[in-house]
Amino acid sequence: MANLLFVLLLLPFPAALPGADEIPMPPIGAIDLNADMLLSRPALAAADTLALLVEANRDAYYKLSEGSEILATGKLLQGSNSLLFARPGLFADSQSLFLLFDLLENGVSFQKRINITLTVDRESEMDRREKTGLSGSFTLGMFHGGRLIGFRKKSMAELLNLKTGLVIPVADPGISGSAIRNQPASQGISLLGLGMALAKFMAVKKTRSQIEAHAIEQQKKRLTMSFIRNKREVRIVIELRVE
Amino acid sequence: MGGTAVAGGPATIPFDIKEKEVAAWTEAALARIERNWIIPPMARLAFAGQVQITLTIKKNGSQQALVMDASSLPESLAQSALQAVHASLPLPPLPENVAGQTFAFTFVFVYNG
Repeated sequence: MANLLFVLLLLPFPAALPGADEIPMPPIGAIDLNADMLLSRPALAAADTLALLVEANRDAYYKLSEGSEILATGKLLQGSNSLLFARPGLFADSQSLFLLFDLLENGVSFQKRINITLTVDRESEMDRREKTGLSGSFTLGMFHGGRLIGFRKKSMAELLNLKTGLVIPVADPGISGSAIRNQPASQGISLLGLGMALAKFMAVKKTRSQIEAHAIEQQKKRLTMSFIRNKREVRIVIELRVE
Repeated sequence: MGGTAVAGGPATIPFDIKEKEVAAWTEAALARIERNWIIPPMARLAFAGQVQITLTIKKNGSQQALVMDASSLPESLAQSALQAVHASLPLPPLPENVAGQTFAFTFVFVYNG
């Protein structure tokens, strides 16, 4: 036992590694969606390309992969790096992607897992507006001597498909025998209503900057945008989660 | 609501839509007005309301008077209803067997957005 203790004492005491008591800073910081680039260049999405923004604390090599498929490789420079990668069928359907982001720095490797959820809505905003406006209906009743003698009912959709357009007011009602006996209900705006609207506007304006700042932050992780593919508007929601 | 006979000989026998010819005339008149009802794009903003228009015609279908009695809709929607009636004139001549020389009809256009 004494011999063993002696041998242990003779062994060189391991020198403390520099900074061994500190947790080394990972080579990268935040990984976000590059919202500015995606919104300003919708052609990227149309080409099934996604843009990420990677904050690198130090220079490092990276590899972005999905399963055995390598999507992108290269070198990150300290600071903000835009990372684009194309993947066939990326925005073709709603789906979830599980990507691995491997980093190599001075022979030491790090790994981040990236989960991207894509929701693809092929029904464009224009289509939605059309549908919203088509929910109504109209009826036309014809009376004679106080009795209903004829009645028509049509949906707004049928009517708008038939024809829409500008209405030419009936010219010179005096000559044609036409006259508006009672003017339509007032379309003016009351002072009280105007005051309330102004107060509401001011309240909204006050908080708008806070909301906008929050929205920009949110866009880095969740982005809603649209692009044109095959002459149709495709609306997508991209959600990013990094572990 | 409803039409009233005007000067020049009221229709002593009210419209009898059970009469085949009267029913056909009514259908034709309604179809023509419906066809000429051009819906302004703003109707897509889901307005609800109605326009009441009274038309007085001679037996030959020509207009004697056209009046918008009331409207609870924006001007362009009310005008589209008035224009629908105006553009349909003259209406087809009334059947011979209907008594009277002038006839008043009230049209109620209802938008239910």
